Amino acid sequence: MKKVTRRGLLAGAAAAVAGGAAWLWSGLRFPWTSEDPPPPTSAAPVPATGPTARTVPEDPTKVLGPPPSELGSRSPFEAPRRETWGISSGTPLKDLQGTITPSDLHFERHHGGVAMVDPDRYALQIHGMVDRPMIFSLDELKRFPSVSRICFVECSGNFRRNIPEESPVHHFTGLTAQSEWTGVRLSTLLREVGVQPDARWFLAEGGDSSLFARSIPIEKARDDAIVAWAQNGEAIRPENGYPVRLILPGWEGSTNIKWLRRLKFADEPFMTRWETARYTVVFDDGLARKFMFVLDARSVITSPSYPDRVQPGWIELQGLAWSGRGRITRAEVSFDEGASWNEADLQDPVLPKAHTRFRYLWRWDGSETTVLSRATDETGYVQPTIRQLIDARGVGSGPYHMNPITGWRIRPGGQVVFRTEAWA
Amino acid sequence: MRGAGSRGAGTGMAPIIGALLMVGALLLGGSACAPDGAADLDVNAAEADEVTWPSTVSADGIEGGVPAHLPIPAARTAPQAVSRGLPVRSSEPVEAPLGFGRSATADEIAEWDIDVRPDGTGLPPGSGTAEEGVPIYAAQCASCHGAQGEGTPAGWPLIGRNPGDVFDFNESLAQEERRVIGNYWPHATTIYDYIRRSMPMDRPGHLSDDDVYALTAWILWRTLLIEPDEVMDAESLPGVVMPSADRFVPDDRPR
Repeated sequence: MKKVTRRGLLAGAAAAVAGGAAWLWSGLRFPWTSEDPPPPTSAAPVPATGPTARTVPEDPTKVLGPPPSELGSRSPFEAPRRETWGISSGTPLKDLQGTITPSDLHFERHHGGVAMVDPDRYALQIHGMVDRPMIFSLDELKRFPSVSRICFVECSGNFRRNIPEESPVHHFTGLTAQSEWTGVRLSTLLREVGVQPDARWFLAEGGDSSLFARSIPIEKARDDAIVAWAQNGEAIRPENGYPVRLILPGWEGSTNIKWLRRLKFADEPFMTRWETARYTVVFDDGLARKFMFVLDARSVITSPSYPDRVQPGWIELQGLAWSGRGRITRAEVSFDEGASWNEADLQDPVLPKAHTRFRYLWRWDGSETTVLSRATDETGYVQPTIRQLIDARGVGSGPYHMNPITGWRIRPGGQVVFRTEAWA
Repeated sequence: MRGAGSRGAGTGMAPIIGALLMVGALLLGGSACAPDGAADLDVNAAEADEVTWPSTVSADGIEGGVPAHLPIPAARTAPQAVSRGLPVRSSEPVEAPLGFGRSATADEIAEWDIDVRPDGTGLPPGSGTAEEGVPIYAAQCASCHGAQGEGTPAGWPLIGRNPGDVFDFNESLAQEERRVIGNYWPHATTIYDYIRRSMPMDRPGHLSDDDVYALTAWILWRTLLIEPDEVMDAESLPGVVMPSADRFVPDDRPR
């Protein structure tokens, strides 16, 4: 991430003021409105340029601030970014606070790029083993009783083996994000179309260029599935499925079909490529596990983390814990490679199937230390070690549904690096 | 209320007054308890009825609207209608359809209904052979997947089953790039579904059904599962048994 220098911003502001652009509230245009290009200056321009960048005066108490604007923007001093890797991008968990991921920083994983869908031409088709095959426009979906829910969406491929020391947290956990999703319960739509008693599965298909599709057991539709059309209070972002996506709380991200356009009910699963050749996990018994939907409990320390450099003394450890099976009941940290665990504070509200922030105030004595975190959920499931995962599944298992305990090594000088652990 | 609000917008004060009356009447439990004064307010009853209450709601309570022999202001009849209608709490499930959306026509369903299941359900008419697939593969697939399906940086390998290959499921599957159709696709029908659904990646949805049969046959032939002149169609394709057909089991991970 590029750091915005205060010096550059001040120089830009000084030049703008010196330019003599006198202005008042009444009628005259603010010299650096969001519509204008940055003020002319010989000094370094504001790095976070673009239509919303504003310069900053040397003393904001001596200058009338800008008037209200139609659309807010981040401070030009802040520039959080997703890191992109071709077919995916990672949420910068280290830069975020609380539990809601800003929508424009929600991770991405696409199978046919970002579909751009015209909401006026959008249609959701529901057919198959239903009494009334139906098509719903976006406006019609929004007429149904709606519901909002905060939950995480995580890609099941959100870990990789043999992570190097110089790894920020999003390099091995960045494919998870949390939003408040609003939409209609899928169970409401089931009643509307009259799903037949023999229906056991449904195909959820996206309207992207891959027509990405997954088979889902009907029990999830009756439980807590949402056909969502809003994210964090506004329309869903295109890269998160605009205008409508499926939300299956706690289930692997690929089942939360974006750009949802079709639901087909049947008595058997459909066996698409993405529930056979992908998103299946081979255990060491030589059998591949399919329909591995639920994401097990996991945690990660987001602060401090690479590339932080910390000082001896009090440090508040922070991180996220979550489980696809329900609420987090305990987050713990260890300073002795897991020999003993210390319970961290959970930030209220602790929601089911949701990122939960934990904190632990700790005094670092300056000696080399590893810090690990471990999550427990309300089913009693305890986040496993890499060794436990390998023992249970085999060293060849993966790359999906890997949720091992991880941590950071704090070197004597304060440099924080990933605590490496061989996958072997 | 939603219909009342939208219809009333921009038509002056009458709908607002009517709405206030309705709210008041609702709070008071309907017309029977309404104070006498409510009927004396300077509201044109007919206008209030027309503007604030869609006829369907009135009709729900009293067939055909307000009977002539009951000189009750419409605003006082409305709550009765609501109380006989659907539940007012949106969190309560509604058993009957709400009536939103429209029926999907057979043509609309057919246009999008492309999924193919392992038993062949969904396979379209048409056919193709590996021999027919050779030029199609070269033109449509080879640039990413390699001339012989061996894969390139732009596309996964398709072919991994050659004479002498050891099909050790555990060994070969530790690396994702070694998961190819011959060792990791349990159903032949999935090949057809996936090609028709998603390929070629830069120009999906343009292959004919026959082309997809031919390409599916080409992959199965190169995987040494069928002969080059063997016809793949809705009858034969589901009968091709994939080497990994018995290697997939439902999620049973240790907890």
